Amino acid sequence: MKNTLININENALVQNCLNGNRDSQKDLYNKYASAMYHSILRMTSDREQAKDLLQDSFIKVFKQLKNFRNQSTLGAWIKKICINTTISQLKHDKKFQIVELDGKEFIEEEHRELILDVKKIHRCIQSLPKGCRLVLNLYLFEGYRHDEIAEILNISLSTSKSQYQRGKILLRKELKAKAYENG
Amino acid sequence: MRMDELEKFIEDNRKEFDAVESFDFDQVWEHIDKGQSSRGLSRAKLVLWCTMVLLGIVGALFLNSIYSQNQSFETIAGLTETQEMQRDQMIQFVSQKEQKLKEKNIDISELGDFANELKGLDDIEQLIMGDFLKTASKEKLVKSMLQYYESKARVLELILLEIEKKEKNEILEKEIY
Repeated sequence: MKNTLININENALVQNCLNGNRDSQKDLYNKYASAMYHSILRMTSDREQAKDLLQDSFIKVFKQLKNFRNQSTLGAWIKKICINTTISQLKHDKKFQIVELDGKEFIEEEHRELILDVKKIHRCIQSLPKGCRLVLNLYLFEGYRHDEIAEILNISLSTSKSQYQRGKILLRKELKAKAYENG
Repeated sequence: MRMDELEKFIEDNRKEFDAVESFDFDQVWEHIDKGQSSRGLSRAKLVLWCTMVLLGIVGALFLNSIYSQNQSFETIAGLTETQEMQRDQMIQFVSQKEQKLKEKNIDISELGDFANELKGLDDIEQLIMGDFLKTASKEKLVKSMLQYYESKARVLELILLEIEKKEKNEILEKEIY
């Protein structure tokens, strides 16, 4: 029942946006902007670039809204546009290269208890190397499978998995270092 | 795959990760709003707008050309009776002189300054006729047109006099020798 009501509201919002109602367009933006901004920021780790990409993504959203067919939720559809826009931009970067890693990199140095905190994780993710940061975000935060990530990033399945493992280890290390710094 | 502590924490607090930072939402919205209007215009609307402007310009030029032509017919046809008479007389006068010159069977390019004068007058004639098509006010043009015929007639007269002078000299020379 709740989902049906959400769908009705979303459909009305989409329809109003398609009719050129600016208030509805602003409502749609307000509803999803924060989530989309954070997704983009986690992948780029650059606030200004994240704002630019958010802007480009929403322009695409409004332009392509007529093609939205309720095959997924509106949020998931918008998220896909944001992720594709971001990845496409990151691929333009000449240094963008995700390589397969061997198992040696996955050995954790020491076992220290993790103090988990949203803000700290958010900050530490942004300090990860680009390749593993991207894979970790797509897998852990956006719910993509490794085969999907491999296809989107044009890498092998094993590269996606190895980069994910590396990302998690580096993130843990970073979190431990931060915990140590903070006493 | 079994979830580790980190993965579990992120999954449990997933929504919080989308609200860690705040930024100027309205500023970004302004750009999106502007971007939408400009992009909307830059594609199909821009093409449509350009086509309409182009059609407008072509239409205006076409109508202007028809209007100008009508104007010139009207004005020439609508000369005052006196102007009409003057013009007819001048045309007739010039034609007679041209005919006489033709009968003399003389190469006009050999006439030196007179030839240049005639060439200049012909250019003026082109200008006057061109102006008739463009200008709405014809009063001065009518005067110029009449002056032109007058000048051409005068030049042709001078040429004929010069030719006659030469002819007489030739006859005299023949008589002497």
